[in-house]
Amino acid sequence: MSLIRLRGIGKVYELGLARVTALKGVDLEVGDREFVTVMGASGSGKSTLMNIIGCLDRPSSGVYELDGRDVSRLTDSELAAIRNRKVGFVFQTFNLLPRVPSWRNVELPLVYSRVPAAERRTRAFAALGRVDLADRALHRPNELSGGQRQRVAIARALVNHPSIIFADEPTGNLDSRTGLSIMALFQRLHGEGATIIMVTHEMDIALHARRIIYLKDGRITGDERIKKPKHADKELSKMADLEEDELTEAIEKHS
Amino acid sequence: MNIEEGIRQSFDVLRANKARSLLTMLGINFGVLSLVAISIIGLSFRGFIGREMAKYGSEIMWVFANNRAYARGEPRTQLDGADVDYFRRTLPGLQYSTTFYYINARAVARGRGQSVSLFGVDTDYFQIFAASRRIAEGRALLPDDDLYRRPVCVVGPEIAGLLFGAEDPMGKRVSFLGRAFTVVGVTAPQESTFVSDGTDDTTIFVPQSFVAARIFGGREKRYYVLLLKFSDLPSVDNAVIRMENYLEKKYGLLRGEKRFRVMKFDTFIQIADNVLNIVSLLVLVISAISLLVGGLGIMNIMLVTVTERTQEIGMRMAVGARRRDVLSQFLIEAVVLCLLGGFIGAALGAVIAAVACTLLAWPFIFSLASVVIGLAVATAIGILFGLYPAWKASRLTPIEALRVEV
Repeated sequence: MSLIRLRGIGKVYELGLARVTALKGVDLEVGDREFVTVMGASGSGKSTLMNIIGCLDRPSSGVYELDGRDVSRLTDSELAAIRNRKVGFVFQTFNLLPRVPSWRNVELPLVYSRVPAAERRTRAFAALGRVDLADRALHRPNELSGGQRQRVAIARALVNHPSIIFADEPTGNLDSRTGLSIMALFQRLHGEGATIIMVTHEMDIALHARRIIYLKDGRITGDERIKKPKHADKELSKMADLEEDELTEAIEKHS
Repeated sequence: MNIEEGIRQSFDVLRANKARSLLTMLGINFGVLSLVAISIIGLSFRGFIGREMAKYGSEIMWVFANNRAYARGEPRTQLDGADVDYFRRTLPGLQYSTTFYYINARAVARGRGQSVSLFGVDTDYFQIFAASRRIAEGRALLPDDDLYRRPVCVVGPEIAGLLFGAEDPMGKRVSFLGRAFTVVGVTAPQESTFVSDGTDDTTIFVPQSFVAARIFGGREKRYYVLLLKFSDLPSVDNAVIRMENYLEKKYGLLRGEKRFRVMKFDTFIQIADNVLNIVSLLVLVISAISLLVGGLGIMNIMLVTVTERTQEIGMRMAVGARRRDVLSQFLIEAVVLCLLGGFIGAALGAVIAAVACTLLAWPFIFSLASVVIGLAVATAIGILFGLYPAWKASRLTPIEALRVEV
């Protein structure tokens, strides 16, 4: 059964007198445990599509069923509840609260689903454990590296056991090596059963997913399964080997 | 979002912006401070008045020239012996009546000179002022002292020290007004008092006739002020009417004004109370203005906060915060800011009031009600001025909040 089912989704923005059509009848199905990348140039409508799938916005037309439930006409509060329980967001700019330690950032979705404080703490620490940051639970974001911050954000996305994880350019603010480690984490989570939808414009990153959807002018222009996705862990170890070789070479040259 | 969570987050924000939060609070601080301080001071003042009233008894009244009726330098009409005799004979319920005369003189004891203030008083004086002019050692002046013109005196503790050093002043001689007086009593150190007759711990009390003779020479003695004490309040009210009638009939009006003022202790206190009420009102106005300005400051800083944290609002909405969660969060932050300011203000206000009461020797009466009202007002200010920024924050949609570049 499909986790996400879009039928004839359209979105029109009214900007004063101008009407901008961002999406024109998008049909899309994403199944449980898929790892999908959405690609497209800016202005292709991919952000609008992501906002609608992520329940941050409502379509102007069409029907969106999430987990078998029509969510295209829900109220603001109902959408907030869906975002809280069904969706986990990972942003390009991490969007962590700078003032509080990691675990307090991670527990945030639980605060809004009225989980008692003690349970929130336990689950926040567990989620940090899943992204290998158990030892950084008490650190504030400014005491963490970019990659660690993004992993805190991923732990926050995971903490309420959502049906889908949305990642909007999750590696956009990271160097390529750290970006790869984030992909490795996504692949691992995917292996553990998570459904992930990711937006990116980098093909290198996109190829870590199992399926790529291309968007152009508000329509889906391509939908491909990737037969041999890149394996981030292998790339990372290759990269590490390479660096070690280069380092040895450099040392030899110098001495 | 529950309130506990909102408060926890408010303190996170406060910690991150200490200086800014403190400055923003100042208006609220000052507003609540003045509110609490004036309430406590007012209460303590009334407590003090109550104590004074109990000390003297509120059945005291006095008569003196109505200065308002006279031009500058114009001779005042004064009571004479016949008036005073008449009052003493006819006023029902009268217990004591006295007057006093005051001159500065040079006193010599053990060969050393000292300028002193001499109060010519009588026995009734010590009766009426029994509470504030307690005799610590020896005796007060007696009717006989005046009758036989005995050269005796009662000295204040401070002047006793100045004249006789560490020695016991009792029975010692001190010379003034051209003759030697024997010390027969020493007054106890004076407590702070609301009604003062001009005496203090440096005063020397002597039988009235010595001082009166110096002032009036051969002329008939006049009474600048006549103090009366009655057995009960109705007698006081009755006496006021009778005395005013008598004085008006005998001396007439001066350019339409009464020549004398008859004042009850009660009335006197009332006047002081009215002054306090006016001062309280002024302070309350100041308090209200600073609370208003403080509230506007809170609103301003909350608007800045909402703008600064637009991305945070977007993120919170993305992870499941509803509009009302965002609204309550920012509202709670504004209220916490105001309440904290209120707490600091109330504490400072109480301290200031305590210091004032200590300095004035008033009993410190803590007013819990004023603190509660102060904090309630601070909370109301927080809600009133925090509502608009919080509402503004809650009206953001998650996409536009997330899209904002900071």
